[in-house]
Order: sequence, then structure tokens, then C-alpha cells
Amino acid sequence: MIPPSFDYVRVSTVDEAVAALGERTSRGEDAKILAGGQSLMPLLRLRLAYPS
Amino acid sequence: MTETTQDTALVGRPMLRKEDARLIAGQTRWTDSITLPGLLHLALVRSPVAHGRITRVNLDAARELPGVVAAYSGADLAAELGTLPCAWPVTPDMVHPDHRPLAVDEVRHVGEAVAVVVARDRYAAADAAEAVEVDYDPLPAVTDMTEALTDAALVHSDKGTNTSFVWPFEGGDYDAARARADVVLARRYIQQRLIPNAMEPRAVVVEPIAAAGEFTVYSATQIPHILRLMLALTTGVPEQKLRVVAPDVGGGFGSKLNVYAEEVIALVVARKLGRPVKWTESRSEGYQATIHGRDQIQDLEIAATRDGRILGLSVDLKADMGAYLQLVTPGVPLLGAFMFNAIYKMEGYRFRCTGVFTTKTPTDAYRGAGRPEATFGVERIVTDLAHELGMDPMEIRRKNWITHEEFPYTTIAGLTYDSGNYEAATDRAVELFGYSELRAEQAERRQRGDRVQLGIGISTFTEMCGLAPSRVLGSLAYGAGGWEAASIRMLPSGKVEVVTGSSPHGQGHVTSWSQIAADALGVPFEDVHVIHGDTESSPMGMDTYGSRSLVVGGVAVHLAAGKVIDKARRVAAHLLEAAEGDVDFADGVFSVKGSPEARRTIQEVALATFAAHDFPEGMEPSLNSEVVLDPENFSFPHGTHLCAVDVDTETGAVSIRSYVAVDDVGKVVNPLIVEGQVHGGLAQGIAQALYEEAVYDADGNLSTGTMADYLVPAAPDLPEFVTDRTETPATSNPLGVKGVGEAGTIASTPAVVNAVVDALRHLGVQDVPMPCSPERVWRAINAATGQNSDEAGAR
Repeated sequence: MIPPSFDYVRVSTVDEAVAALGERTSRGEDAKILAGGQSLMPLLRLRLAYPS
Repeated sequence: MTETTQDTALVGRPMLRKEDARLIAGQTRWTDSITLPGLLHLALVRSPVAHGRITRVNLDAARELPGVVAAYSGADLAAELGTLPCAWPVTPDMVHPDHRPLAVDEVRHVGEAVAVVVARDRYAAADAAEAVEVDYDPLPAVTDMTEALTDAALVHSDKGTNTSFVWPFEGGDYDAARARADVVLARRYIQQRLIPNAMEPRAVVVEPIAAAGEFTVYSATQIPHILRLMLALTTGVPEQKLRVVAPDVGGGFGSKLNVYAEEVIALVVARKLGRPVKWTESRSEGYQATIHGRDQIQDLEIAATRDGRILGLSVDLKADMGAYLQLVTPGVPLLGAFMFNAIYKMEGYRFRCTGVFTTKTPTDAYRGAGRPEATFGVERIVTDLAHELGMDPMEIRRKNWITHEEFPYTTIAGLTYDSGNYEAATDRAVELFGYSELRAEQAERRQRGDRVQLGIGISTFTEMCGLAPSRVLGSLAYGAGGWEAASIRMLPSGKVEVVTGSSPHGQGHVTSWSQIAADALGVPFEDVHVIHGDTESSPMGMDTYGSRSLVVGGVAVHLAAGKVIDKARRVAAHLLEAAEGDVDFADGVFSVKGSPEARRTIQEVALATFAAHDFPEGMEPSLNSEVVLDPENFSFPHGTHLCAVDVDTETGAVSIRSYVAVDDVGKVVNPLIVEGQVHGGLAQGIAQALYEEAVYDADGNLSTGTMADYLVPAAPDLPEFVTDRTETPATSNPLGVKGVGEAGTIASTPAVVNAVVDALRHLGVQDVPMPCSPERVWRAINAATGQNSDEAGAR
């Protein structure tokens, strides 16, 4: 139940979020959106998701 | 010993738990919260296969990751780790395979540890564990006990058999009883495998003082004292250099009554590196690496006369040990040998248990340990017998139980039940439940073919608690005694320290022991401080399991207080210039008979003892005492539990409509704590009846590997409990207490399943295997009524 290491980008507007996603996707990274964390956090902790 | 007046007595009062303010405020010390300078973190690499030969362990990639300090395979540490102990060699020829904390050549269950990595933080440790490469040559999984007994595939190939032991036991003459019987009924019941779920996962921290060769082991354990001895024997660290601390421990239910691989590994790694280390399991890791419970095939036969008198009972158990023998694995099913006969009189009794190895997580003690299994078997078959004979299941119990005039009563299994009153508990339960009214409603609903049928389940249980007289444990080849230690220290200010060898992990010892000591010494409840769970401050102990703490450890506190008063009376007599025989003691005050103004409080005596200026000639200036109590007998709590369920015959859904538990646990020290134990016990027993099951697939993978797959019921899944008590004091200890930790779990499983089957009996249903899920109930109905015959008979 220990997630792999990942970068976390904190955004405050939708535009920032879109820009951050676009930037990482264009670099071939697998970025995920963290909202409530009810789905992503358990997947991270079970090491079933490896966002980068 | 002390004449505390009734209105001030603390024993029997619902005192709020002293522990709770601290626990609720989060001012706790869980093992995982302990942080030490330079602390390193362990993570274990575990087998993903049920059975296989290890062909390669490659630690190179793991060692190169940032933050990783070391990584070891089983082969690297084999000489230092030794083999894990089993303290209960139940037969002289028991097959007892080596159980290496880290597997070296072969793995035998999913989750068995094969390598350990050490890193500066938990995240680096987890990454490193993932980077370890291990290759396995698969070997056949052995997941079914019946197949295991054919020895077609072996769990331990060097042993040549999957049978660990066969343990027979006989009381009276079963064959003669059977020969005289009008009716002989045979039944097979299955005790499914369960996974204990303590709130706090297991954790261990080891702090070495390298230069001195000393180690402090903090562990979320029920047994700090036993663990200390076993770690010393396993690792060769001298016992006097090993201190074991059980800090706050958040539940155990038997799962922390063990010596685990991770405890040994942490100690050995800390010794090797000279650095403190920590390991904390994740929940899903614990599901594979912490012991499981139950898992038996029970073949029972009951012999009776046509008018419902039980003549004999025969029990043939197959008990799944899992892949290895943990601390008391083989002994757990044997505790049932003394309990299958339960509260019933009979002339012949036969018991046989076969311990079987499979490629699954080892089983061991789980709340009740052998006794829930026995109670389930006997309460089910006695109910089936009543049905066979056309009797009310309550009537058959009344006809066969030991009546209250017959105590003390030596059972067919050789135990002497000191006291009990099954009539009183049953009468009270029947009244609270409305037994006749519910039977009338049941008849009416059957008559009109209601889709939802009412079932009534009965469980009139007893159990053996207060483990245990040491000589009895010796006769059963158990590796230790059953005593408990307590000491009391009167401090100069008149405050009191109680040191107990019993090690609480949620039971509220601090509160109950304070009540006992405060009453005996006549001091305020608040003035008593209870010390436990540290081999340095509570050097002697046998720890907490088997509903033993109050009956052995609490009684020891009471006796230790008596010793303090005996000495204080001699000091008071000296100070008051009176003869010792003329000094009375009540409510904390010594006074001279006939001159009540001549008095000293126990606090004044404590201060006078500290100063020791004016002290009896030759007496040591201390008001301390120590008692090590070896109990003279087990205790035998009992009770009657009644359960009413509504069963939807179309969907198979079971809903508990009412549950009445009348328990007789003897004298009650704290009714709040007793109530809490009964509620939690009921939840756990109902969980086995309706919800929980550890499932392995044919390849030996644990299908119920997380809490999302393993159904631990929560409060909304459970009914309102109606609880009450009768009070028949134990005669084997001066407090009259019997223990309550396991009662609810033992009683409730058969009460619920008897109710489910009772609801469907008129449809021809004779059994529903546990857990009685809607699917299984639905299949049982369809199998019995011949509907959906393509589905019938499955499971």
C-alpha cells in the first residue's frame, strides 16, 4: 500500500490544468488528473497505476 | 480480605475506560508511530506462487536504487534466521517441517517471504522490493485437504506425507453407547477459513545498542513475554539482552499471538546493520502473511435414544494447518476435543483430529481457537437430532444438559465444570426473545407459504477459559505454563502501581485492574496506575489470549493486593501500638477494635513505610508484593443465545431480525467492558455465519486478497443486540470471574446458522454451508426443492 514515486502539479485554474496536461502528454508522459482521489489513490497505493 | 462496603465498591460498576481519553485524543504509541534516529525501513519480497522451487534471486537492481541500504535473500541470512518456533508438539511423532523466516529453496504459500530490502524510507523500500527478481520452478499447489491426504502432491516433499499428526482421544465407551442407540445421525460440517482483521496491522521496530549487544523490540504483539523467550532461542541474542515492548496494540484476536518471520528478520537485520529498523504490514500483505483461522472438515456422529437422550458423540476432524506450523497451530483444533461434548451428559465420546498441510497461509488461534469450531459442530448436530426425533430443539437441550444441582460436574471429556446454571440463562433468554410467540409466528408463516420464512436458532454454549492450569498444559505437551504474574507497589504518597504480566490489546486491563486493586486496597480508582506490556517493567508474564486475562491475571492482582494489606496491617498495628489481631481494615483505613479513633489510613502506612523511622523489628521497609498465580482449574462461562432470521426464499437473502444473548460470565468487574466484549464477539461470530470466507483458487492464489473481496461486516450489517446476564460465580477463584473475551464469537455462529437452516427445514434443507450468503441459501433451497435442478447441488 505504498505508491510509486510521482510528480504532483498543483493548479488553480482550468487553463493551468489543461496546459500542464498538454505539456506532459506531448513529452509522452502518462499524467493523471487527481480530483477527489477516491479512485486514483487506491490504484496508486496498490501499484496498479504508475503515472509519470 | 477487605470489607469494602457495597455502595463504594468499584468492582461491578460501569467505570469509563481509563485508556480511552488517551486513545481518542490520539496520544498513543502504536508501533508504527515509533520513530528513532537513523531508522531504516524493511520491505519484504513475497512469493506470488503457492508452491515453487526458487531457482534465482537477483538483488542487484534493488541494491542500486537510491536510498537502499541493503538487500538479502533467504540464502544470505539462513544461518542467522534459524527456523520459526512451534511451541505445541501435540504428538511425539508430529511432522514438524522447518519454517524459515525467509524461504531458501522452496516457497509453500502465496505471500511467503523470500527476500528483504532495507532502505532509508518506506517508499524506497517498496520500490526496492519491486525491483528484486525471483525465479520459481512451479510445483503443484495443494489446496484441498481431502486431496492433500492422498499425498498425491506433497507440500513438504522431504517429509513424504501431508499429514502432520493424528491425535485421538476417548472418554467413556462410544462403541457401547452407539450400540445401544435407537438413532445414529451423521453430519459433515465445514468450518471455512477466516482472516483475522485487527484494527492495527502488525508492525515491528527493533532498536539495537550495538556496543552492548542489546536490543529493544517493539512489536504489535499480544505476547511480549513469550516473544522475548522465543526470539532469544531463535536468534541466539541472550534473553537478558533482549527487551520486548508491546506498546499500544490495536486488537489481535489471536493473530498477534505468534512469533512471526518479520519479527525475527527485523531483529537479525538490526543486529547485522547496527541500525534501528521498522516493518509495518499493509492490509493486503497481512492477509497473506498473518495467520488465518478455523478451516476444518468436521465429521460428526451422534447416538441417542428415541426419546431424545444423547448417549454418545463421535468427532473426526480434519484441520488445515496451512503450509507450516506456527506457534500453536497444531494445538488449536485439539482445544475442541474438550468442548464438543459441551454442556451435555453422555456415556461415550470419541475424538480424532488429523492435522493436514496445504499450500496456504498457516492457520493458528483465532478468537475462540478450537472452541467455536466445537460449539458449532455440537450445537448444529444436537439441533439436527431434535428435528430427526420430532422434538423442539430447546427441549432436547433441557433433557441432556448438566442441571445446576449437578455442579461440580466432571464431563465425558474429563474436565470438571465448577459451576453453571444453564436453566437460568436459558429461561431468561427465552423470555427476552419471546420464544413461543416466534414459534407460533413461524408456524403461521409456513402454513401460509410466506415468501419470507422465519427461522429460530439456538446456541446453548459453554467454553473453557482462563488458560490454564500449568499441569494440564503439560499433559497436552504445550511448551509453557499457564500462570500469570502481578505485583503491587505502594508509593510513598499512597498512590499505587500495579504491574501485570497480562498484555492488553484493547481489552481494558488498565480499567478493570484499577477497579480490582482500588477495591482491595481501599484507595481511589484514580490513584491506581497499571503497567504492562514491557519485559523490563513487567518482567514475568504469560500474556493475553484464551479469555485468560481477568481469570488468571486479574485474580493475581487481587491476591497481590491482599499480600500488601497483610503487611500493612502489621505496620499499622506497630504504629497504633496494638496487637495485629486487633487491627481491622475497611475502606482503606486500619483501626483498632473498640477504639475507632485509633486509626491509620493505608496512605499513612505507605508513608511510614517509606520513612521507616518507626518500623517493626526485622521487617523490610517496603509495601510491595508479587504473586504468580497458577490457576487450579479452567473457568467455564456459558450462556444461551437465540437468533431469529428472516430468509427470503426467492433471493436467499438472510436478515437477522432479533438476537438475544444471555451470558453467564460469573462475577462482572466492569459491565461496560463485558458488554463491549459481547458485542464485538457477536459481530465476529455472525461474520463467520453470514459474511466472511478466505477463498483460494485451484492454483493456491488467495482470491479474497483485500478488504474489497473479504467481507468484514460493518455496523449497518448487524442487528440490534439484546444482551443480559445471569451471574453464577466461578468457584475456582476468589473473584468468582470466568472471562468474556471469546464468548460472543463462540456462541453466535451456530445460533445464526441454526436459524437459517430452521427457516428452510420444512423445504427439506438440512444444511447451508458458511458463510450463508444469498447465493448459497438460494442454491440450498433449490437443491432441496428440486427447482432449477441444473443449479442444484453446487457448493
